[in-house]
Amino acid sequence: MTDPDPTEFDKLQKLLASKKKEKPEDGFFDRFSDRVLTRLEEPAPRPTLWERLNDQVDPFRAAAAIFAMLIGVGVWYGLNEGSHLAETGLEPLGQAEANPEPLGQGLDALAGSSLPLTKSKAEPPRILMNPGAGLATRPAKASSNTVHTPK
Amino acid sequence: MLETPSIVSPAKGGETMPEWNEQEHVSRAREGDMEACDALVQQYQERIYATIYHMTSNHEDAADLAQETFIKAFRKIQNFKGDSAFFTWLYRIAVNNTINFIRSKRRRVILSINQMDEDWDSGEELLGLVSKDTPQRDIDRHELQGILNAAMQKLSPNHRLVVTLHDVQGLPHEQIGEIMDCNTNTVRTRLHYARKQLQAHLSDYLKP
Repeated sequence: MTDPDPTEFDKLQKLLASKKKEKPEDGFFDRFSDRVLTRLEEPAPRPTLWERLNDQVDPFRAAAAIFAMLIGVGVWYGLNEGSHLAETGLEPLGQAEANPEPLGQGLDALAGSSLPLTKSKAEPPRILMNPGAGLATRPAKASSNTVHTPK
Repeated sequence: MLETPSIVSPAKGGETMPEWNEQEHVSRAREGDMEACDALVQQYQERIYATIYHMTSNHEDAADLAQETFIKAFRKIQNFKGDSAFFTWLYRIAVNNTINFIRSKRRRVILSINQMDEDWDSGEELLGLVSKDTPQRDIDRHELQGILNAAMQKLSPNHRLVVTLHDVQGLPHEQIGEIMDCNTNTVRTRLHYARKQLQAHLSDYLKP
């Protein structure tokens, strides 16, 4: 937004000042006080729970209490979760699953689906079976092996 | 603490009262003296009503909210500690009430504009502020009021409030800061942005 044009700004201020002249109908203020005092003498409506809380509780303290409660719950949850992890962490790996499902049964479960069931034998990577295979051989240069001795 | 400067009752059309002692009236109102309550209403009714009216641009809403403001103030007058002037405390109640009201009915704004004061014969002067190149050359005073009020309604409640208190009602920045519970610099910044937004909304009418 650019800075206001001073001429326009002056006009705007005059327009706003003219709003002061907007008045309610004649006699409005003569009756206003009576209406207020009549309503004031009527019994006050019972304040809602929110209004009572608003009157009696300092919003800053309430916010601080809620914040502290949230932190407390967070810490409690964190500690609880930590102790649970610690319990499972101590369990030896072999005992983690008492009755592991036989491998074949798992595959049988897949048999119902349309996925092809290929039982491949586990093999080590090819490179480990024949090291150096696939690499291009290069004849060694004769001169490269000569040792130059200083004269 | 800012003292209320006026010892002239606005309700009596500028008639000078013997002497306005706010503290005395407030302490009597605290004890349930209805005459003191009446005097406090008479003293501040016009300014409270006007603030709410310029915020809502609706006479019926302003009348209801102004009544509620005084009733709330008298019912809670025991909570008034005297840290600020009674007038500032009353204004705060009015302003909070009005802002809550505006937020609750944001999508249902109905303008109900009051007539200009009969003894104010500056219609031509007012229309002279409007550009000759305005889209509606034959705009009248009432239309101009409507356009201005509609532009005011486009401002956020806080921006509208600062324009109302400063540019319409002529309150100083310090007192506005007390009412809005913010510092003077915030008041100035809000006023600057509010005016720029108003100028943008009224640019078709205010061009030289």
